[in-house]
Order: sequence, then structure tokens, then C-alpha cells
Amino acid sequence: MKIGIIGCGKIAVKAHLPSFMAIPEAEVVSVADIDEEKAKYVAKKFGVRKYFKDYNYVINDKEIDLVDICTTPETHAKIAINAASNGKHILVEKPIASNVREAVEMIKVAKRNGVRLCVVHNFRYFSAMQGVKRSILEGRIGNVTSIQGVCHQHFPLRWSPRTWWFNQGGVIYDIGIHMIDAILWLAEDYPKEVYAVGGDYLNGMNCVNQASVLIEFSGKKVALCDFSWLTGRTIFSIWVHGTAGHIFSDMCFNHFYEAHGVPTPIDEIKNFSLKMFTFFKDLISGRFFLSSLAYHKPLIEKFIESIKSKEREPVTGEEALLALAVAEAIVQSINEKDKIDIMKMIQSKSGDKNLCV
Amino acid sequence: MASKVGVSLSDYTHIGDMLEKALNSYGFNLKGKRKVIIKVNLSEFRTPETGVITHPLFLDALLKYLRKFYDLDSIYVVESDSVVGLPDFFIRWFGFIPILQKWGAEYINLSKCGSVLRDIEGLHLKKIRVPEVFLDDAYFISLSKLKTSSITRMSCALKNQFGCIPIRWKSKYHPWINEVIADANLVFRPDFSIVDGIIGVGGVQGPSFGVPINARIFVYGEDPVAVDSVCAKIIGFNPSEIAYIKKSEKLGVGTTKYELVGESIKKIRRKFEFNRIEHLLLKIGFHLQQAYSRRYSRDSL
Repeated sequence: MKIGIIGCGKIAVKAHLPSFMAIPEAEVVSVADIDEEKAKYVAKKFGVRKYFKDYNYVINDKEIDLVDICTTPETHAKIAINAASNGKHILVEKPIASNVREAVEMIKVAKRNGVRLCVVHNFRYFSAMQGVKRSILEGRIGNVTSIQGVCHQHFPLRWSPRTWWFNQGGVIYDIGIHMIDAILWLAEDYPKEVYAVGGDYLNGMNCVNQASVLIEFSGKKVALCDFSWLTGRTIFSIWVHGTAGHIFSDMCFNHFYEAHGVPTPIDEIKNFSLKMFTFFKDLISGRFFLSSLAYHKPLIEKFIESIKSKEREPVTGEEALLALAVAEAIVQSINEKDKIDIMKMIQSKSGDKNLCV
Repeated sequence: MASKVGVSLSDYTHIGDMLEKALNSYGFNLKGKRKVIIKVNLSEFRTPETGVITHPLFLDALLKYLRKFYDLDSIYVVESDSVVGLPDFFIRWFGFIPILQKWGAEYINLSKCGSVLRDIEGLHLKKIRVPEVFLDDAYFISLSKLKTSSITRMSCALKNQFGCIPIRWKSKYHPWINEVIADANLVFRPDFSIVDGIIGVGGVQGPSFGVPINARIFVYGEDPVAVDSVCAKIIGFNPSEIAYIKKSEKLGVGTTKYELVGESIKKIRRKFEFNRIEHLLLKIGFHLQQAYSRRYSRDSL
């Protein structure tokens, strides 16, 4: 499969390109970036044949099957719609778009042109997250009643000197969207209503840097999550409570464990041993140091497989749309100090009153 | 000859009175200068109560003192951009603007104010960019924080002048950080240094992600080398094991010999939780992470 990558920023260099390079059936044939020097540098570094300043050359290239969009969120929709119209499959970095309206349009155009659309919500591929999902699906904790997530990350100046992210919903659209996607994925349910408190807890940062959020699902379950850019340590932990037990997971150490019945010292010893085993395994393989960057590859690999086998994408456009809708609802709820009905919001923002996700 | 260094106890609630008392008893004097430059620390996106950046209440107390005792034409509060520091934003987000307005002080971003290239006889640098504000005949106060550092072990008065170098990618100097700190102090030698340790930073992940230490002290003096020597003692280091203190002394920035006024060293020594084994392991881990990350992404940047 021939790949064209648009956007040569850090996420492309640190995650997407290394992932494609490690997948035998994928070949990156061109890269594009508005900074031509950067595109040239990246092409040379990764042995890519062609580089462009204008992304339209990638989209119009007949050789290319799949376009990978690694640009900033406000450009996703325009590029994806152009690519889909040219018959290219689309892989797009999270969030799917900068707003619900654009995301709905992207999904519609992809469907109309018979191309596949997948969004990089790679946190699903942490082995701990996969383990949590497996336990839930196997019914090991009964019916899920509530999910608690803590998603803290230091303001990501170390990641990129650019500051585009704080015009776009702050922490919610940055690392927060991964937490929202993980919760929706684990809940296996439609988010009905969202209520959030928080906002800009500094002076004039003008974006959400702290939020506590309640998500009520259509079924009998609820999620409570805390998002922050203000604390100094990365925390990405999810607790899932069910009628037959609990699952505690921590993506920083790629660790999860189930808890049933009375807490005992044996439980603690077992959990500690498991945590150390995973830690040393990840340390030796280097995954510990790469953290979430190590999980782009399995998602991309699965997407390529799904295109070939015509199976469902690992993360569909609709799933990513729901995550984005929850993110948008969080910001709206903070501003309006009221709960937001997700489906009504999607219908009103997309201008399609009959739309059903 | 020993340099005089003062140490006082305070919290942020009483810092106005305590700072006034401390500076007056030290004999603080602007020596007829009518302009003052205050170099603060806004080097990282951390809120003031973490101890990482200048506390607005300390700056408020210093500006109040200067306005009360001196008839000044201008007060400039300065900081420069760094890879992880956007002072233009931090000055607003962390609540400094009302304080600057209250005392008629002007904020200047050293990376954006224009600069001249100057030759120096430094240990590493032979040329250095000097921001234009430093070309004026002004009294320079270095208002720094009392912190441990994973790179230089501690970060106090002398390290603050590293932030006077106006280029953004200062991290390129990290392999020669001790020499460059000494070189920066050759050019930007403060007339007076104040180290705010009311809330300092301890642990091995300083200066940005360490443990806030409620040390309730501040250290001050005209000689930044002597001030840092006292800070080293407070944290639990021997000044001779801090490379940039030794190198600064060698360059003639100041002396490690100090005469303490105010509190005694015994009374002010604090536990800054700097475990040397943990520090070593952290350094090994950091290098491993860099190596893995570079190998994975083929990114040599």
C-alpha cells in the first residue's frame, strides 16, 4: 500500500513515519509540509522518494492509496475531504476535526466516495487498555456501572514550541480526547448527556486547562473524569467499576488489575509483581520510553488490514465524531453552566436534524 | 575577603515587612541609579505555589520596597523565551500583570527587545548577545528561586542569569551548562541577588518537576557567588561540588567566602530531598529514553 503523509511535524516524525517504516506492506512514497525545508529533511531522514510544499500534489498522486493527515486539527477536514474526493483512504490524527460540523462532513464525503476513514486514537492499543476491554467483554466485572478517568498532563510545551492547541479547547482537545475515546470505547454505550465544570483556572489563558466532567450514557452507566494541564505529572488512569468487580488501570505503567471481593495482602503482592513484570518487559522492549508513541503502529497496521479485508476500521469516523462531540459538549457545558444533550448538539451543529450516529 | 550574605525567615503573607527589614538591615543601596532591572524566573509552565517560578507576592513586595524608598524613573521586570518558557504568556496567566500595573513596572521580554553582540573572554562563550535594556546604566537585581536541579544539582542566583541570554534555544548550551552560567554572570553580573526559598523546589526532578519545599527563607547579597554558596549549604551541598559556583569564582564573578548576617546556617538548613542514587538512576533513565526515542524516530534533532 502506497502512503502519502501530509504534515511533517513532531507526531509524523516521532510516530507515524516510524510506524509505516516498520510495516512491510506499507510504503511511504511522499511527504508534504508547508515548510518545504522540513518536508525535505523528513524525506531524506526516512528515505521517502518525493516531498512537496503543497499537499495537493500528494492528494492528486495516482500512485497513492492512503493519505495520512498529521497537520493541525483545523486543517483536517479540508484535506480529508479533498483526499476522499480523489479516492484516497484516510488516516487522520486525533481529534478527527476541529468541530462536529467538519467531522460529520468528513464522514459523509468518505462514505460517498467509498473510501475508508480511520482516526488515530492509539491509546486503545496500550496492552493494559486492551486487557481492560477484554475483561469487560468477558464479563469478568459484570455489568459496567461507572468509569472514572484521570487525565493530567503538563502543558505540552516540551512536545512542540507551537501553541496552536490552546485555541482549540485546551486540555480537552489535546490529551483529553484520548481519555474521552477510551471511556466511550470501554463503556460500549452512547453518551447521552454531559455536564462539566472547570475552564481557565489561570489568568487569561482563554482555554480549558482544568475540568471535571460527568458523562451519562444511554444505558445505566456513568463516567466521571478529571482533566488538567496544570499539574506537573502525566496521569492517565481509568477505573472501571462493575456489578461483579473492579478494574484499575494506569497507562503510564501500562498496567491494569482486577479486584474482586475483600482486599487482601495477596492481592497487593500479586498486583505489584504483575506491575513490575510489565514494567521490565516494557523497559527492555523500549515501549516504556516511547509510551503512547509505541501504539501508533498496531493501529495503523490494523487499519491497513481492514482496508484489504474490507472489515471495520480500528477506530471509525463515527466513534471519533462521538469523542469530539463529547469534547465540544464539555466546553459548551462549562460556558453555559448546564448539561448538554449530545445527540441534539450533533444534530444542531451539523445542520442535519435527522442525523443519527 | 568574605562577601556579606543575608538570610531571613518569612512566609508570603509577611514578605512585605520581612523584605523591608532584611534589605534595610543589610544596607541595600541603589548607589544613585534611577533605573532598576529585575530578572525574574518564568522559565516553565508551573504555577507559583510549586516553587518553580517567581512568586507574584515576592515580586510585589520587592516593587513596593523599591517604590517606597527610592525615586526611580523606571523599573523593568525581565525574562527571556526558552524552549519551554513563554514569559509573554506566563506573566499574564500567573497573575503578574496587576502587580506590574500597581507599581508602575514594565515587563520586557529579553528575546524580543533587540540586542547587541559582544565579545567576551568566557569559559565557553566568546561572543554573547546582550539585550539592549542591559546597556542602560541600571541597577540589576536577580530575583531567583531556591531549587535543586537534575542537571546542575541546584539552581539559585547564578543560574538565573542563564535566562538573560536572549536566544530561545538555550538548551543547546546544556552540555556546557556550568561554563555558560559562569560566562553569563560575567556579562550580566547582578548588583544584588535575592533567592526566594519561601517555597523552594527539592527532590531529584528539579528545577521544574521537583517537590515543593516549604523552606520559609530568603537569601540575599551583593555577591551572587557567595549567595549561591549559602544556598548550597542550605540545600545540603558543599559549594565546592557545584561546578558553576567554582567556575564563576574562577572567572572573578565573586567569592565562595561569605560572612552570614541574619540567621545561622544551622537554623536555616533544610531537607531538600536530593537523593544522589535516585539522581544517578534518573540520569541513566533520561539518557536511555533519549537513545530509544532517537533510534525509533531516526530523529537526530
